Amino acid sequence: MIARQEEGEFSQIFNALMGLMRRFIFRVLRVGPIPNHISFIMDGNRRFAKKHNIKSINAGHRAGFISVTYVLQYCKEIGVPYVTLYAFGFDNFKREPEEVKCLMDLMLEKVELTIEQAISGNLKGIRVIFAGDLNSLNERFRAAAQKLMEITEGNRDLIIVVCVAYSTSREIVHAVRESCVRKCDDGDGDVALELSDIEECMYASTVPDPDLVIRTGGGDRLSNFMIWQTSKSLLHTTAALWPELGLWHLVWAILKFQRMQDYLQKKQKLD
Amino acid sequence: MLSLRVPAPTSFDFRRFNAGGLDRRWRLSRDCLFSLSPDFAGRGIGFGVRSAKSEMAPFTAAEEETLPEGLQPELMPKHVAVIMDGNGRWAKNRGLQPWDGHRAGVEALREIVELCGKWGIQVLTVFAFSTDNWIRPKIEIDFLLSLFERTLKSEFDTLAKNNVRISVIGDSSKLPESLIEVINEVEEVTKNNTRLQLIVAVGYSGKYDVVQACRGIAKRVKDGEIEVGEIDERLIEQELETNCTEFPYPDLLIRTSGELRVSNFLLWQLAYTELFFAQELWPDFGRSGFIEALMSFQQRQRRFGGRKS
Repeated sequence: MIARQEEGEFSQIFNALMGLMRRFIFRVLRVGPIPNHISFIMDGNRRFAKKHNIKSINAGHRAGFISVTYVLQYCKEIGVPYVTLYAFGFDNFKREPEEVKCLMDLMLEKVELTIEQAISGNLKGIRVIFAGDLNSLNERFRAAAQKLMEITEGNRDLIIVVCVAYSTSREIVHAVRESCVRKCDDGDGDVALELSDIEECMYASTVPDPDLVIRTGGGDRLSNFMIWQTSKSLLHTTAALWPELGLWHLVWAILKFQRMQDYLQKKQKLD
Repeated sequence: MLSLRVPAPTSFDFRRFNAGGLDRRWRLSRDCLFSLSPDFAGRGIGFGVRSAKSEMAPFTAAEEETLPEGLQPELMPKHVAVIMDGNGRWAKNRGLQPWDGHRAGVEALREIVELCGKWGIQVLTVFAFSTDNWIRPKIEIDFLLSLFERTLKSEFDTLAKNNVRISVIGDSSKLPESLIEVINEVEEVTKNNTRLQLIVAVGYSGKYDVVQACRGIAKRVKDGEIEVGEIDERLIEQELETNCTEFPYPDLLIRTSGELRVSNFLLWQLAYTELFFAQELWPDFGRSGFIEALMSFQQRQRRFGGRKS
Protein backbone atom coordinates (compact mmCIF):
# COMPACT_ATOMS: atom_id res chain seq x y z
CA MET A 1 0.00 0.00 0.00
CA ILE A 2 1.29 3.41 0.88
CA ALA A 3 5.02 3.22 1.59
CA ARG A 4 5.92 3.37 5.22
CA GLN A 5 8.85 5.24 6.57
CA GLU A 6 12.01 3.40 7.47
CA GLU A 7 11.27 0.86 10.09
CA GLY A 8 13.55 -0.78 12.58
CA GLU A 9 14.13 -4.51 12.42
CA PHE A 10 11.89 -5.22 15.36
CA SER A 11 9.03 -3.31 13.73
CA GLN A 12 9.50 -5.27 10.56
CA ILE A 13 9.32 -8.60 12.36
CA PHE A 14 6.32 -7.43 14.35
CA ASN A 15 4.53 -6.24 11.21
CA ALA A 16 5.27 -9.49 9.45
CA LEU A 17 3.83 -11.44 12.37
CA MET A 18 0.73 -9.28 12.42
CA GLY A 19 0.36 -9.75 8.70
CA LEU A 20 0.52 -13.50 9.16
CA MET A 21 -2.09 -13.41 11.89
CA ARG A 22 -4.35 -11.32 9.71
CA ARG A 23 -3.92 -13.71 6.80
CA PHE A 24 -5.02 -16.53 9.05
CA ILE A 25 -8.09 -14.66 10.28
CA PHE A 26 -9.08 -13.61 6.78
CA ARG A 27 -8.65 -17.17 5.52
CA VAL A 28 -11.21 -18.28 8.06
CA LEU A 29 -13.52 -15.39 7.13
CA ARG A 30 -13.34 -16.27 3.47
CA VAL A 31 -15.01 -19.62 4.11
CA GLY A 32 -18.24 -17.67 4.26
CA PRO A 33 -19.51 -15.02 1.84
CA ILE A 34 -17.50 -11.82 1.70
CA PRO A 35 -19.34 -8.61 0.87
CA ASN A 36 -18.73 -7.54 -2.69
CA HIS A 37 -18.87 -3.87 -1.78
CA ILE A 38 -18.43 -2.27 1.63
CA SER A 39 -19.12 1.39 2.18
CA PHE A 40 -17.91 3.37 5.18
CA ILE A 41 -19.47 6.42 6.75
CA MET A 42 -16.46 7.84 8.50
CA ASP A 43 -18.02 9.69 11.39
CA GLY A 44 -16.40 10.73 14.65
CA ASN A 45 -13.10 12.36 13.72
CA ARG A 46 -13.79 15.58 15.57
CA ARG A 47 -15.03 13.75 18.63
CA PHE A 48 -11.83 11.69 18.59
CA ALA A 49 -9.69 14.83 18.63
CA LYS A 50 -11.79 16.28 21.43
CA LYS A 51 -11.56 13.05 23.40
CA HIS A 52 -7.78 13.10 23.21
CA ASN A 53 -7.59 16.85 23.80
CA ILE A 54 -5.88 17.64 20.52
CA LYS A 55 -6.57 21.25 19.75
CA SER A 56 -5.59 21.54 16.08
CA ILE A 57 -8.55 21.93 13.80
CA ASN A 58 -8.08 18.93 11.59
CA ALA A 59 -6.16 16.64 13.89
CA GLY A 60 -9.11 14.30 14.09
CA HIS A 61 -9.31 14.14 10.33
CA ARG A 62 -5.60 13.35 10.05
CA ALA A 63 -6.11 10.50 12.47
CA GLY A 64 -9.06 9.53 10.31
CA PHE A 65 -6.85 9.31 7.25
CA ILE A 66 -4.49 6.93 9.01
CA SER A 67 -7.50 4.80 9.78
CA VAL A 68 -8.44 4.91 6.09
CA THR A 69 -5.10 3.47 5.05
CA TYR A 70 -5.41 0.58 7.48
CA VAL A 71 -9.00 -0.19 6.59
CA LEU A 72 -8.22 -0.17 2.88
CA GLN A 73 -5.31 -2.50 3.46
CA TYR A 74 -7.49 -4.91 5.41
CA CYS A 75 -10.16 -4.81 2.70
CA LYS A 76 -7.57 -5.56 0.07
CA GLU A 77 -6.22 -8.48 2.11
CA ILE A 78 -9.69 -9.88 2.71
CA GLY A 79 -10.46 -9.59 -0.96
CA VAL A 80 -13.30 -7.10 -0.98
CA PRO A 81 -13.35 -5.79 -4.57
CA TYR A 82 -15.18 -2.47 -3.99
CA VAL A 83 -14.92 -0.02 -1.12
CA THR A 84 -16.64 3.34 -0.80
CA LEU A 85 -15.58 6.06 1.59
CA TYR A 86 -17.84 8.94 2.52
CA ALA A 87 -15.19 11.60 2.84
CA PHE A 88 -17.12 14.83 2.58
CA GLY A 89 -20.83 15.36 2.20
CA PHE A 90 -22.29 18.27 0.30
CA ASP A 91 -24.17 19.27 3.42
CA ASN A 92 -20.84 19.53 5.26
CA PHE A 93 -20.26 22.80 3.42
CA LYS A 94 -22.56 24.20 6.10
CA ARG A 95 -19.74 23.94 8.62
CA GLU A 96 -17.39 26.77 9.56
CA PRO A 97 -15.53 28.02 6.44
CA GLU A 98 -12.24 27.58 8.27
CA GLU A 99 -12.95 23.94 8.98
CA VAL A 100 -14.12 23.31 5.44
CA LYS A 101 -10.97 24.87 4.07
CA CYS A 102 -8.77 22.79 6.36
CA LEU A 103 -10.59 19.65 5.31
CA MET A 104 -10.25 20.48 1.64
CA ASP A 105 -6.56 21.21 2.06
CA LEU A 106 -6.03 17.96 3.91
CA MET A 107 -7.85 15.97 1.25
CA LEU A 108 -5.89 17.71 -1.49
CA GLU A 109 -2.64 16.88 0.31
CA LYS A 110 -3.62 13.24 0.56
CA VAL A 111 -4.77 13.04 -3.04
CA GLU A 112 -1.49 14.49 -4.22
CA LEU A 113 0.39 12.05 -2.00
CA THR A 114 -1.62 9.20 -3.50
CA ILE A 115 -0.82 10.43 -7.01
CA GLU A 116 2.88 10.25 -6.15
CA GLN A 117 2.44 6.74 -4.81
CA ALA A 118 0.55 5.72 -7.91
CA ILE A 119 3.26 7.11 -10.18
CA SER A 120 6.01 5.34 -8.26
CA GLY A 121 4.12 2.07 -8.52
CA ASN A 122 3.25 1.55 -4.85
CA LEU A 123 -0.50 1.44 -5.40
CA LYS A 124 -0.60 -2.02 -6.86
CA GLY A 125 -3.89 -2.69 -8.55
CA ILE A 126 -5.84 0.05 -6.80
CA ARG A 127 -8.25 2.21 -8.71
CA VAL A 128 -9.66 5.40 -7.24
CA ILE A 129 -12.92 6.96 -8.41
CA PHE A 130 -14.29 10.24 -7.13
CA ALA A 131 -18.05 10.52 -6.83
CA GLY A 132 -19.93 13.68 -6.04
CA ASP A 133 -20.55 17.17 -7.27
CA LEU A 134 -16.94 17.75 -8.32
CA ASN A 135 -17.81 21.09 -9.85
CA SER A 136 -18.32 22.55 -6.41
CA LEU A 137 -14.71 21.82 -5.45
CA ASN A 138 -11.86 24.22 -6.01
CA GLU A 139 -9.94 24.08 -9.27
CA ARG A 140 -6.81 22.51 -7.87
CA PHE A 141 -8.60 19.72 -6.06
CA ARG A 142 -10.70 18.93 -9.08
CA ALA A 143 -7.63 18.73 -11.29
CA ALA A 144 -5.83 16.47 -8.80
CA ALA A 145 -8.88 14.21 -8.51
CA GLN A 146 -9.14 13.95 -12.30
CA LYS A 147 -5.46 13.10 -12.53
CA LEU A 148 -5.69 10.39 -9.88
CA MET A 149 -8.70 8.86 -11.62
CA GLU A 150 -6.86 8.82 -14.92
CA ILE A 151 -3.63 7.36 -13.53
CA THR A 152 -5.34 4.52 -11.72
CA GLU A 153 -7.96 3.79 -14.35
CA GLY A 154 -6.50 0.52 -15.52
CA ASN A 155 -6.29 -1.13 -12.10
CA ARG A 156 -8.76 -3.78 -11.04
CA ASP A 157 -7.76 -5.35 -7.73
CA LEU A 158 -9.45 -2.92 -5.40
CA ILE A 159 -11.73 -0.15 -6.54
CA ILE A 160 -12.12 2.69 -4.08
CA VAL A 161 -14.93 5.18 -4.55
CA VAL A 162 -14.27 8.36 -2.63
CA CYS A 163 -17.37 10.46 -2.12
CA VAL A 164 -16.53 14.15 -2.00
CA ALA A 165 -19.15 16.92 -2.08
CA TYR A 166 -21.62 14.09 -2.31
CA SER A 167 -25.23 13.82 -1.25
CA THR A 168 -28.00 11.57 -2.46
CA SER A 169 -30.31 14.54 -3.03
CA ARG A 170 -27.84 16.20 -5.37
CA GLU A 171 -27.09 12.90 -7.04
CA ILE A 172 -30.77 12.34 -7.79
CA VAL A 173 -31.24 15.91 -9.02
CA HIS A 174 -28.25 15.41 -11.29
CA ALA A 175 -29.60 12.06 -12.52
CA VAL A 176 -33.07 13.52 -13.16
CA ARG A 177 -31.59 16.41 -15.13
CA GLU A 178 -29.39 14.12 -17.19
CA SER A 179 -32.14 11.66 -17.98
CA CYS A 180 -34.53 14.49 -18.85
CA VAL A 181 -31.98 15.89 -21.24
CA ARG A 182 -31.48 12.48 -22.86
CA LYS A 183 -35.12 11.46 -23.01
CA CYS A 184 -36.66 14.75 -24.04
CA ASP A 185 -34.61 14.73 -27.18
CA ASP A 186 -36.20 11.46 -28.24
CA GLY A 187 -38.91 12.71 -30.54
CA ASP A 188 -42.41 13.94 -29.79
CA GLY A 189 -43.95 10.93 -28.14
CA ASP A 190 -44.55 10.52 -24.41
CA VAL A 191 -41.41 10.46 -22.34
CA ALA A 192 -40.72 6.82 -21.44
CA LEU A 193 -38.49 7.05 -18.41
CA GLU A 194 -37.49 3.86 -16.63
CA LEU A 195 -35.54 3.06 -13.49
CA SER A 196 -32.51 2.08 -15.53
CA ASP A 197 -32.40 5.50 -17.19
CA ILE A 198 -31.99 7.19 -13.86
CA GLU A 199 -29.53 4.61 -12.54
CA GLU A 200 -27.28 5.13 -15.53
CA CYS A 201 -26.92 8.78 -14.60
CA MET A 202 -25.88 8.20 -11.01
CA TYR A 203 -22.38 9.29 -10.07
CA ALA A 204 -20.63 5.95 -9.71
CA SER A 205 -22.96 3.94 -11.89
CA THR A 206 -20.30 1.45 -12.95
CA VAL A 207 -19.86 0.25 -9.38
CA PRO A 208 -22.32 -2.32 -7.95
CA ASP A 209 -24.49 -1.46 -4.94
CA PRO A 210 -22.97 -1.85 -1.49
CA ASP A 211 -23.73 -5.04 0.45
CA LEU A 212 -22.64 -3.65 3.77
CA VAL A 213 -22.63 -0.12 5.15
CA ILE A 214 -20.46 0.45 8.20
CA ARG A 215 -21.08 3.65 10.09
CA THR A 216 -18.80 4.68 12.91
CA GLY A 217 -19.53 7.21 15.61
CA GLY A 218 -22.67 5.56 16.87
CA GLY A 219 -25.21 7.51 14.81
CA ASP A 220 -27.95 5.41 13.28
CA ARG A 221 -28.75 7.38 10.14
CA LEU A 222 -27.75 7.55 6.52
CA SER A 223 -26.85 11.26 6.39
CA ASN A 224 -27.83 11.61 2.75
CA PHE A 225 -25.24 9.04 1.73
CA MET A 226 -26.00 6.59 -1.06
CA ILE A 227 -29.58 6.09 0.02
CA TRP A 228 -30.46 4.94 -3.49
CA GLN A 229 -27.71 2.34 -3.64
CA THR A 230 -28.02 1.04 -0.09
CA SER A 231 -31.71 0.26 -0.03
CA LYS A 232 -30.99 -3.46 0.27
CA SER A 233 -27.69 -3.21 2.14
CA LEU A 234 -27.05 -4.32 5.67
CA LEU A 235 -26.61 -1.25 7.87
CA HIS A 236 -24.08 -1.77 10.62
CA THR A 237 -23.39 0.93 13.18
CA THR A 238 -20.57 0.85 15.65
CA ALA A 239 -20.06 3.19 18.55
CA ALA A 240 -16.32 3.30 17.86
CA LEU A 241 -15.19 6.58 16.33
CA TRP A 242 -13.67 6.39 12.86
CA PRO A 243 -10.02 6.79 13.93
CA GLU A 244 -10.66 3.99 16.45
CA LEU A 245 -11.98 1.57 13.87
CA GLY A 246 -9.73 -1.44 13.80
CA LEU A 247 -9.36 -4.93 12.47
CA TRP A 248 -11.78 -6.47 14.95
CA HIS A 249 -14.57 -4.03 14.13
CA LEU A 250 -14.24 -4.92 10.48
CA VAL A 251 -14.15 -8.65 11.20
CA TRP A 252 -17.23 -8.32 13.40
CA ALA A 253 -19.12 -6.41 10.70
CA ILE A 254 -18.29 -9.06 8.10
CA LEU A 255 -19.31 -11.86 10.48
CA LYS A 256 -22.63 -10.09 11.00
CA PHE A 257 -23.02 -9.82 7.26
CA GLN A 258 -22.34 -13.54 6.91
CA ARG A 259 -24.85 -14.38 9.62
CA MET A 260 -27.60 -12.43 7.90
CA GLN A 261 -26.87 -13.78 4.43
CA ASP A 262 -29.02 -16.90 4.72
CA TYR A 263 -32.06 -14.98 5.78
CA LEU A 264 -31.45 -12.31 3.14
CA GLN A 265 -31.23 -14.91 0.36
CA LYS A 266 -34.52 -16.43 1.49
CA LYS A 267 -36.16 -13.03 1.68
CA GLN A 268 -34.84 -12.01 -1.72
CA LYS A 269 -36.38 -15.10 -3.25
CA LEU A 270 -39.69 -14.22 -1.60
CA ASP A 271 -39.54 -10.55 -2.44
CA MET B 1 -59.48 5.24 21.13
CA LEU B 2 -59.91 3.44 17.90
CA SER B 3 -62.40 0.85 18.98
CA LEU B 4 -65.24 -0.59 17.04
CA ARG B 5 -68.56 -1.42 18.50
CA VAL B 6 -68.53 -5.16 18.06
CA PRO B 7 -71.62 -7.24 17.69
CA ALA B 8 -71.95 -10.43 19.71
CA PRO B 9 -70.10 -12.71 20.15
CA THR B 10 -67.67 -10.34 21.86
CA SER B 11 -65.32 -12.90 23.31
CA PHE B 12 -63.06 -14.97 21.19
CA ASP B 13 -59.90 -16.75 22.05
CA PHE B 14 -57.65 -16.46 19.06
CA ARG B 15 -55.46 -19.29 20.14
CA ARG B 16 -58.28 -21.71 20.51
CA PHE B 17 -59.60 -21.74 17.05
CA ASN B 18 -58.55 -24.66 14.97
CA ALA B 19 -57.92 -24.90 11.29
CA GLY B 20 -61.52 -24.98 10.26
CA GLY B 21 -62.81 -23.46 7.07
CA LEU B 22 -61.06 -20.29 6.03
CA ASP B 23 -64.41 -18.55 5.67
CA ARG B 24 -65.48 -19.37 9.17
CA ARG B 25 -62.16 -18.20 10.49
CA TRP B 26 -62.38 -14.94 8.64
CA ARG B 27 -65.93 -14.22 9.71
CA LEU B 28 -65.40 -15.05 13.37
CA SER B 29 -62.14 -13.24 13.87
CA ARG B 30 -63.16 -10.25 11.83
CA ASP B 31 -65.97 -9.53 14.23
CA CYS B 32 -63.62 -9.49 17.16
CA LEU B 33 -60.51 -8.13 15.50
CA PHE B 34 -60.80 -4.58 16.56
CA SER B 35 -61.79 -4.63 20.16
CA LEU B 36 -58.94 -3.89 22.46
CA SER B 37 -58.73 -5.34 25.93
CA PRO B 38 -56.83 -3.51 28.65
CA ASP B 39 -54.46 -6.42 29.21
CA PHE B 40 -53.29 -6.42 25.62
CA ALA B 41 -49.88 -4.99 26.34
CA GLY B 42 -48.70 -5.43 22.82
CA ARG B 43 -46.27 -8.15 23.78
CA GLY B 44 -46.71 -11.86 23.37
CA ILE B 45 -50.03 -13.31 22.45
CA GLY B 46 -52.46 -10.59 23.26
CA PHE B 47 -55.58 -12.03 21.76
CA GLY B 48 -57.04 -13.31 24.93
CA VAL B 49 -60.65 -13.39 25.93
CA ARG B 50 -62.39 -10.07 25.57
CA SER B 51 -65.64 -8.72 26.76
CA ALA B 52 -67.76 -5.71 25.90
CA LYS B 53 -66.62 -4.05 29.14
CA SER B 54 -63.05 -3.92 27.92
CA GLU B 55 -63.72 -1.59 25.02
CA MET B 56 -62.32 1.88 25.41
CA ALA B 57 -64.21 4.99 24.55
CA PRO B 58 -63.06 7.11 21.60
CA PHE B 59 -60.44 9.59 22.66
CA THR B 60 -61.00 13.30 22.54
CA ALA B 61 -58.65 16.22 22.89
CA ALA B 62 -59.61 16.64 26.52
CA GLU B 63 -58.48 13.12 27.37
CA GLU B 64 -55.05 13.48 25.76
CA GLU B 65 -52.70 11.24 27.59
CA THR B 66 -49.65 12.78 29.20
CA LEU B 67 -46.39 11.49 27.83
CA PRO B 68 -44.81 8.59 29.68
CA GLU B 69 -42.03 9.42 32.07
CA GLY B 70 -38.75 10.06 30.30
CA LEU B 71 -40.20 11.47 27.11
CA GLN B 72 -40.03 15.20 26.59
CA PRO B 73 -42.83 16.84 24.62
CA GLU B 74 -40.57 19.37 22.87
CA LEU B 75 -38.36 16.57 21.48
CA MET B 76 -41.16 14.46 20.02
CA PRO B 77 -40.68 13.70 16.34
CA LYS B 78 -43.14 15.32 13.96
CA HIS B 79 -43.10 12.48 11.47
CA VAL B 80 -42.53 8.83 12.29
CA ALA B 81 -42.18 6.14 9.63
CA VAL B 82 -42.60 2.46 10.36
CA ILE B 83 -41.66 -0.69 8.47
CA MET B 84 -44.05 -3.29 9.85
CA ASP B 85 -41.85 -6.33 9.41
CA GLY B 86 -42.25 -9.74 11.00
CA ASN B 87 -45.90 -10.72 10.65
CA GLY B 88 -45.04 -13.88 8.76
CA ARG B 89 -42.43 -14.97 11.27
CA TRP B 90 -44.71 -14.15 14.18
CA ALA B 91 -47.36 -16.45 12.76
CA LYS B 92 -44.83 -19.18 11.95
CA ASN B 93 -43.43 -19.10 15.50
CA ARG B 94 -46.92 -19.78 16.78
CA GLY B 95 -47.81 -22.40 14.24
CA LEU B 96 -50.35 -20.13 12.60
CA GLN B 97 -50.91 -19.17 8.98
CA PRO B 98 -49.31 -16.04 7.48
CA TRP B 99 -52.66 -14.26 7.27
CA ASP B 100 -53.07 -14.61 11.03
CA GLY B 101 -49.80 -12.77 11.38
CA HIS B 102 -51.04 -9.96 9.15
CA ARG B 103 -54.22 -9.63 11.17
CA ALA B 104 -52.15 -9.43 14.34
CA GLY B 105 -50.12 -6.78 12.57
CA VAL B 106 -53.19 -4.66 11.94
CA GLU B 107 -53.98 -4.83 15.62
CA ALA B 108 -50.49 -3.61 16.50
CA LEU B 109 -50.87 -0.81 13.99
CA ARG B 110 -54.06 0.39 15.62
CA GLU B 111 -52.25 0.73 18.91
CA ILE B 112 -49.45 2.76 17.38
CA VAL B 113 -51.87 5.03 15.52
CA GLU B 114 -53.70 5.64 18.75
CA LEU B 115 -50.48 6.50 20.57
CA CYS B 116 -49.36 8.86 17.82
CA GLY B 117 -52.66 10.66 18.01
CA LYS B 118 -52.39 11.03 21.77
CA TRP B 119 -48.75 12.05 21.91
CA GLY B 120 -48.78 14.78 19.33
CA ILE B 121 -46.99 13.08 16.48
CA GLN B 122 -48.32 14.72 13.36
CA VAL B 123 -47.55 12.27 10.59
CA LEU B 124 -47.24 8.49 10.69
CA THR B 125 -46.16 6.70 7.55
CA VAL B 126 -46.47 2.93 7.44
CA PHE B 127 -45.03 0.57 4.90
CA ALA B 128 -47.86 -1.81 4.19
CA PHE B 129 -46.95 -3.27 0.84
CA SER B 130 -43.89 -2.76 -1.32
CA THR B 131 -43.48 -2.96 -5.08
CA ASP B 132 -41.06 -5.79 -4.32
CA ASN B 133 -43.81 -7.76 -2.55
CA TRP B 134 -45.74 -8.44 -5.75
CA ILE B 135 -43.63 -11.60 -6.10
CA ARG B 136 -45.25 -13.17 -3.05
CA PRO B 137 -47.81 -15.99 -3.49
CA LYS B 138 -51.03 -14.74 -5.00
CA ILE B 139 -53.13 -16.03 -2.12
CA GLU B 140 -51.14 -13.94 0.34
CA ILE B 141 -51.31 -10.83 -1.84
CA ASP B 142 -55.06 -11.23 -2.29
CA PHE B 143 -55.49 -11.64 1.42
CA LEU B 144 -53.34 -8.62 2.23
CA LEU B 145 -55.18 -6.35 -0.17
CA SER B 146 -58.58 -7.51 0.95
CA LEU B 147 -57.51 -7.13 4.58
CA PHE B 148 -56.49 -3.59 3.81
CA GLU B 149 -59.81 -2.89 2.12
CA ARG B 150 -61.81 -4.36 4.98
CA THR B 151 -59.76 -2.47 7.56
CA LEU B 152 -60.24 0.82 5.75
CA LYS B 153 -63.96 0.30 5.54
CA SER B 154 -64.38 -0.78 9.14
CA GLU B 155 -62.06 1.82 10.68
CA PHE B 156 -63.15 4.67 8.51
CA ASP B 157 -65.77 6.09 10.88
CA THR B 158 -63.54 5.85 13.94
CA LEU B 159 -60.65 7.53 12.21
CA ALA B 160 -62.83 10.27 10.84
CA LYS B 161 -64.29 10.89 14.27
CA ASN B 162 -60.81 11.11 15.76
CA ASN B 163 -59.72 13.72 13.28
CA VAL B 164 -57.25 11.45 11.51
CA ARG B 165 -56.45 12.10 7.88
CA ILE B 166 -55.63 9.13 5.71
CA SER B 167 -53.47 9.28 2.61
CA VAL B 168 -52.39 6.36 0.51
CA ILE B 169 -49.24 6.49 -1.57
CA GLY B 170 -47.93 4.03 -4.09
CA ASP B 171 -48.49 2.60 -7.50
CA SER B 172 -52.21 2.01 -7.70
CA SER B 173 -52.17 0.53 -11.19
CA LYS B 174 -52.01 -3.05 -9.92
CA LEU B 175 -54.54 -2.67 -7.13
CA PRO B 176 -58.08 -4.05 -7.50
CA GLU B 177 -60.77 -1.55 -8.52
CA SER B 178 -62.79 -1.95 -5.35
CA LEU B 179 -59.78 -1.07 -3.21
CA ILE B 180 -58.99 2.00 -5.29
CA GLU B 181 -62.59 3.20 -4.86
CA VAL B 182 -62.47 2.77 -1.10
CA ILE B 183 -59.10 4.56 -0.94
CA ASN B 184 -60.38 7.51 -2.94
CA GLU B 185 -63.46 7.79 -0.79
CA VAL B 186 -61.55 7.61 2.49
CA GLU B 187 -58.97 10.14 1.32
CA GLU B 188 -61.67 12.53 0.19
CA VAL B 189 -63.70 12.39 3.35
CA THR B 190 -60.75 12.68 5.74
CA LYS B 191 -58.76 15.25 3.82
CA ASN B 192 -59.52 18.12 6.17
CA ASN B 193 -58.66 16.30 9.36
CA THR B 194 -55.76 17.75 11.28
CA ARG B 195 -54.88 15.74 14.34
CA LEU B 196 -52.79 13.01 12.75
CA GLN B 197 -52.02 12.17 9.16
CA LEU B 198 -51.72 8.47 8.53
CA ILE B 199 -49.90 7.75 5.29
CA VAL B 200 -50.17 4.15 4.14
CA ALA B 201 -47.68 3.04 1.53
CA VAL B 202 -49.23 0.36 -0.68
CA GLY B 203 -47.47 -0.75 -3.84
CA TYR B 204 -44.82 1.80 -2.97
CA SER B 205 -41.07 1.94 -3.01
CA GLY B 206 -38.58 4.76 -2.71
CA LYS B 207 -37.14 4.17 -6.16
CA TYR B 208 -40.58 3.99 -7.74
CA ASP B 209 -41.43 7.34 -6.15
CA VAL B 210 -38.31 9.00 -7.56
CA VAL B 211 -38.92 7.49 -11.00
CA GLN B 212 -42.52 8.68 -11.12
CA ALA B 213 -41.43 12.14 -9.94
CA CYS B 214 -38.81 12.14 -12.65
CA ARG B 215 -41.41 11.18 -15.26
CA GLY B 216 -43.64 14.03 -14.13
CA ILE B 217 -40.74 16.45 -14.34
CA ALA B 218 -39.65 15.14 -17.74
CA LYS B 219 -43.15 15.65 -19.04
CA ARG B 220 -43.17 19.23 -17.77
CA VAL B 221 -39.80 19.88 -19.39
CA LYS B 222 -41.05 18.44 -22.66
CA ASP B 223 -44.17 20.60 -22.50
CA GLY B 224 -41.94 23.61 -22.07
CA GLU B 225 -43.30 24.39 -18.63
CA ILE B 226 -39.87 24.31 -16.97
CA GLU B 227 -36.27 24.34 -18.10
CA VAL B 228 -33.87 21.50 -17.35
CA GLY B 229 -31.70 23.96 -15.42
CA GLU B 230 -34.62 24.70 -13.09
CA ILE B 231 -34.79 21.15 -11.82
CA ASP B 232 -33.69 21.25 -8.21
CA GLU B 233 -34.34 19.53 -4.89
CA ARG B 234 -37.48 21.51 -4.17
CA LEU B 235 -39.04 20.59 -7.48
CA ILE B 236 -38.41 16.90 -6.95
CA GLU B 237 -39.82 17.17 -3.44
CA GLN B 238 -43.02 18.62 -4.88
CA GLU B 239 -43.36 15.81 -7.40
CA LEU B 240 -42.82 12.95 -4.95
CA GLU B 241 -45.91 11.20 -3.64
CA THR B 242 -45.16 12.44 -0.13
CA ASN B 243 -46.21 15.90 -1.27
CA CYS B 244 -49.53 15.08 0.36
CA THR B 245 -48.11 16.17 3.69
CA GLU B 246 -46.52 19.27 5.15
CA PHE B 247 -43.75 17.17 6.75
CA PRO B 248 -42.51 14.73 4.10
CA TYR B 249 -39.22 13.97 5.85
CA PRO B 250 -39.52 11.43 8.67
CA ASP B 251 -37.64 12.30 11.83
CA LEU B 252 -37.62 8.69 12.95
CA LEU B 253 -37.82 5.41 11.04
CA ILE B 254 -38.63 2.28 13.02
CA ARG B 255 -38.09 -1.16 11.58
CA THR B 256 -39.13 -4.21 13.53
CA SER B 257 -38.05 -7.85 13.43
CA GLY B 258 -34.34 -7.14 13.74
CA GLU B 259 -33.68 -6.60 10.04
CA LEU B 260 -31.01 -3.95 9.56
CA ARG B 261 -31.96 -2.48 6.24
CA VAL B 262 -34.28 0.06 4.66
CA SER B 263 -35.50 -2.26 1.88
CA ASN B 264 -36.44 0.45 -0.57
CA PHE B 265 -38.97 2.13 1.70
CA LEU B 266 -38.64 5.86 1.22
CA LEU B 267 -35.44 7.06 -0.23
CA TRP B 268 -35.25 10.77 -0.88
CA GLN B 269 -37.10 11.45 2.34
CA LEU B 270 -34.67 9.51 4.55
CA ALA B 271 -31.72 11.88 4.13
CA TYR B 272 -31.38 12.73 7.82
CA THR B 273 -33.88 10.39 9.38
CA GLU B 274 -32.82 8.70 12.58
CA LEU B 275 -33.09 4.93 12.22
CA PHE B 276 -34.23 2.65 14.99
CA PHE B 277 -34.09 -1.10 14.59
CA ALA B 278 -36.26 -3.06 17.00
CA GLN B 279 -35.71 -6.75 17.66
CA GLU B 280 -39.37 -7.56 18.23
CA LEU B 281 -41.59 -8.77 15.46
CA TRP B 282 -44.24 -6.25 14.42
CA PRO B 283 -47.25 -7.80 16.16
CA ASP B 284 -45.24 -7.75 19.41
CA PHE B 285 -44.10 -4.17 18.97
CA GLY B 286 -46.55 -2.25 21.06
CA ARG B 287 -46.50 0.67 23.40
CA SER B 288 -43.29 -0.33 25.18
CA GLY B 289 -41.36 -0.82 21.95
CA PHE B 290 -42.62 2.51 20.69
CA ILE B 291 -41.58 4.26 23.89
CA GLU B 292 -38.13 2.71 23.62
CA ALA B 293 -37.82 3.98 20.04
CA LEU B 294 -38.93 7.47 21.03
CA MET B 295 -36.53 7.59 23.98
CA SER B 296 -33.66 6.55 21.73
CA PHE B 297 -34.68 9.26 19.25
CA GLN B 298 -34.80 11.96 21.91
CA GLN B 299 -31.28 11.17 23.06
CA ARG B 300 -29.76 11.59 19.64
CA GLN B 301 -27.82 14.58 18.46
CA ARG B 302 -29.00 15.61 15.02
CA ARG B 303 -26.52 17.69 13.06
CA PHE B 304 -27.86 17.50 9.46
CA GLY B 305 -24.31 17.66 8.12
CA GLY B 306 -23.34 20.74 10.07
CA ARG B 307 -21.58 21.02 13.37
CA LYS B 308 -23.18 21.02 16.79
CA SER B 309 -21.74 24.07 18.51
